[in-house]
Amino acid sequence: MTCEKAQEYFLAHSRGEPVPAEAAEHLRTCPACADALREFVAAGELLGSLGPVPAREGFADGVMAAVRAEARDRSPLGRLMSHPSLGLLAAAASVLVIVGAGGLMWLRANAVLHRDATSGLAMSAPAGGVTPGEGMYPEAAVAPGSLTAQDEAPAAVEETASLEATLSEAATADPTEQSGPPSTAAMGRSGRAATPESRGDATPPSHVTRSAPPPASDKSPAAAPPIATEPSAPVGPFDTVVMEEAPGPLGPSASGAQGPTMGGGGYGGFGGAEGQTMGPMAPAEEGYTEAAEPPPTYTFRFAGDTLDEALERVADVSGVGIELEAGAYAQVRIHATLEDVTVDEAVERLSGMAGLRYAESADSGYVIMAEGPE
Amino acid sequence: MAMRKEASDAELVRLSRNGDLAAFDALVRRHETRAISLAYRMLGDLDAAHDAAQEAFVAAWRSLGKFQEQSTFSTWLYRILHNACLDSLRRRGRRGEVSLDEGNDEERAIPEPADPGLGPDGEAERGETRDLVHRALVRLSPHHRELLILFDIEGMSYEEICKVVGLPMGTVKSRLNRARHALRHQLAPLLEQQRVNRGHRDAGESDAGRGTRHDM
Repeated sequence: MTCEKAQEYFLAHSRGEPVPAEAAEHLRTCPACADALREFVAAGELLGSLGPVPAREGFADGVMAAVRAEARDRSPLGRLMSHPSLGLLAAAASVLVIVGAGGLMWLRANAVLHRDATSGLAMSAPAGGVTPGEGMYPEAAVAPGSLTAQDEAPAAVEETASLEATLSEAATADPTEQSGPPSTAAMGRSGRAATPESRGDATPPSHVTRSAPPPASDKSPAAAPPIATEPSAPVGPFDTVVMEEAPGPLGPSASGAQGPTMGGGGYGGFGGAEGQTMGPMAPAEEGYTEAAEPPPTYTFRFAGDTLDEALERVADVSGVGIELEAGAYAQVRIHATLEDVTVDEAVERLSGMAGLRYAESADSGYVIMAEGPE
Repeated sequence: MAMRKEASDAELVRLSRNGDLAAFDALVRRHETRAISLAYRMLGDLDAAHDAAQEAFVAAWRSLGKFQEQSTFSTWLYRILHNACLDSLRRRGRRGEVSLDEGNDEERAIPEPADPGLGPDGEAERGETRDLVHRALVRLSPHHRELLILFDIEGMSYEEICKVVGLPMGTVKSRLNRARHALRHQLAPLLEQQRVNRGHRDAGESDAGRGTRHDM
């Protein structure tokens, strides 16, 4: 065997892989090849000695900025913006997260309201004037003025499963339960259902669901599956939807009771078929008791198959450790502490995840996170 | 946070697919060093390496839905990165373009990086030897270079390399063998120098020990 031929087996030979007997024999006996083989191996070792090259500082941030820009374009909201006929829909089991000063977060189950995209994403303060601390989407038609005290929260549901059940039930609740003005009429034509919860003072949360509306008219029937089908529809494990700044202070007594519920919309995931609604989005409402000079709070909405799952996602994403208080699920009032992150960071992560930014609404002072492609 | 750190790539991918940007952020941070390293060795230029790596991560994000779980995220990412690097080289034009498209195994020089290993970020490349090795590497054809990077630097298995570069096993092995020979030739002066140094060292030790000289 020639040296040239034998050299074809250097790699295999050096790694102890089988090589033809002839080659092995040649390598054993040819001094020139023995030298060459040593260098061959040494060259590989030299290469292996090259250390890792660290990314420049800020590299990951740059990547994420680019990704976020894409996500924004593809996010439910982003798509929504580009598809005016699509209605916003919410997914099942959502969790509202409010990050406020002091490193506390309040989570709670929340009803999700649908809003017709055609009504515009711009939020404005509800006409009737909402008391501060009560952020809401006007279109959402939530019972006005209802700050519910924590104790008025829905009957305690101790387990996620229960809560989930409740949610489903609420979601499927029929229209007969519909009551109150605030219903969907205000929501406009979206074919999507809305299940606002009421937070009326007197209203016990558990039932608050009213559901939705009717199908409406318009333009995108296809895009608006009947709500009845929604509860059973698979829901993305999680989705973030809305972030808004609530003017109210955060305090234990501050959170409003929430009605469970949700018409959940299936979360189509990025890239869902056109005409299909993608994500949940729902404006959140908040009730706060009042206080002076409240630091800003941010509200996010997460959806999941179960509340537990949604909570986990929240913790996971925000870096905020969450500790459930006993019976917390009842009001889904969770006390969380910020571990390695600041409020700002948590907000940043949460918003980044949604691929959305928040912008201030001049007239209402709320911060709305809707910002999509023009 | 703890959850995040413990999450496997697969889990982070799953979360990312659902639009969880924080999960993807974690993936980026977890793989950025290897991605940059690989791109830098491939392109010989830090700016280009960062550009290619970013392009790859963004492309990965965009294609998460297509990611098949039969390969690991890193292998999949490197495949994307590998393509991004080849694109970068093509864009850079010059001779690298030809050899890339032809899949020619011939040694072909690609434009030498302006200042490999130097500059503000050059500390990453410490040591004269490493610098020489890096220079030798970037003088190889892209096809040889990529295989050596994956095999000798990244320590990937033949199987993984096949997935990354999209070549059959036989081709990968034979090309790797040729690539290593090509590197050996590029490093001849250094290897020779090392041998001489070793000789001197041995001689020095011998002198000191008043002993005989050993040849290795």
